[in-house]
Amino acid sequence: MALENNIELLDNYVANRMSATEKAAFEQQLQADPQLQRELEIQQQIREGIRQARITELKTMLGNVPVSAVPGTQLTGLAKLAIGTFAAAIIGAVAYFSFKPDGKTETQQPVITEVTPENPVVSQDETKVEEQADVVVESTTPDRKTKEPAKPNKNKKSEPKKDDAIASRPAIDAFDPAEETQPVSKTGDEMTAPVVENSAQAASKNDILTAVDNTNKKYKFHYVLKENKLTLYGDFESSLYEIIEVFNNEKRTAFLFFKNNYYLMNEDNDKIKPLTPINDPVLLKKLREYRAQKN
Amino acid sequence: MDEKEIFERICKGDEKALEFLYKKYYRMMTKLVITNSGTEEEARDIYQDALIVFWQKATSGNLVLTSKISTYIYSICQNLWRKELDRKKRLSNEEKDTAVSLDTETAERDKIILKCIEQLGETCKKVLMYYYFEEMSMQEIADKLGFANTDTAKTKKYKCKMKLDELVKAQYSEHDFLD
Repeated sequence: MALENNIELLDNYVANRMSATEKAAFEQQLQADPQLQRELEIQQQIREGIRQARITELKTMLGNVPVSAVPGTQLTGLAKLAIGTFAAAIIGAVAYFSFKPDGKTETQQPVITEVTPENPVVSQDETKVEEQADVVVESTTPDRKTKEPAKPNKNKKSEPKKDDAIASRPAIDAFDPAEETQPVSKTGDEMTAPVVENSAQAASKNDILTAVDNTNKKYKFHYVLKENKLTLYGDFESSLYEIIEVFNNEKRTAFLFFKNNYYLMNEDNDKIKPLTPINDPVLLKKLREYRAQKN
Repeated sequence: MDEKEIFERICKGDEKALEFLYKKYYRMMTKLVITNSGTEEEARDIYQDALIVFWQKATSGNLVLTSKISTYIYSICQNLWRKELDRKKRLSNEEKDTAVSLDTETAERDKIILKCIEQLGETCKKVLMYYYFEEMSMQEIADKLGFANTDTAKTKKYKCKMKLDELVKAQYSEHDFLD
């Protein structure tokens, strides 16, 4: 009977809905009542179970939010400009490798078209966020501005473009983890401002949104790439992976670099396809050169 | 959406705002773990845990934000990751066995409770979660779930809790967890 009378008190205690005075009084009562203590134990377990269930639910919800791939491993717009000059050579190698001196005229094309498809992607991404959150993403606005000045550089000559890209390379590394860990380890608001800006900048540099699915038993090392959305199936958590995009005549070719291998990813349909490492020594050499230059 | 708006929406239990925040700082927060000898999976896990700590404190009204949201979440990530590294270190030593044996009964009880929660209807689950985890007021619960007033929310919560207690106790007695 005593327990029934105390049920509400017990619940308020467990749910953390008591004032300090009420709490103290109840704790005193608890000490003198072993039955109440046992009931409290059960109620605390139930409360913990509810909390755990909610945490799992929230984590599942967050786990389903599309986020871009491993930070710092994707290429920036400027990096893509830099590889633009390699584009024809690489694409050529895939189809009919022959490194001709006049390949230079081909290399001009990808550079011109490279940035163009990027902007719609950015705006698509923004629209998506707006739809989801009913908000305007402020952080992407300055970012778009930083991209726009790159447009006038898209003249028809590849040589100056290469220079531009190389000269701007330090900007690629702007999102340095050290810059983040240092300021925030101190305290104070002003410290975080650059951190937030950096992250916003880095976040919008990706065209291909990558998600990893390691739960599918059927697909252990597969991918599907469709409309800028890449899903990698398998254990991609064990090592860092990198998405390399190459543009040629408005056509994008995407490669994956993972555990010292390169993989070509076709985006012709939404079928889940296996990842097969590239063996062509010439193409591999080009890709390696590119990565070495990037790093 | 500025900081203030995000925070206000999160305080009200707006999950869309939480998703927005998750996306916004994903790179910054996961990088902290990845650059400190963590895998991407661990980084994601720590970041999600940190965000949920923030969410719980905000929804329960126990948080007065004196810094930027990112600063706050970042410091939680740092703490959680430090703890995790300590835990790993300890596990790699010799305490592993004792820790596991001590947790067996608790794990069994947790499993039973989770199973019972799963048997409740969606609204019941939500009411109890909002009450015990988000620590929302009855008014907030009524608003979130479209109940006519706080009395409806109270009654619903009471009935759902009774049902859960019943299910758990029946299972406990089956497993001899009750005296």
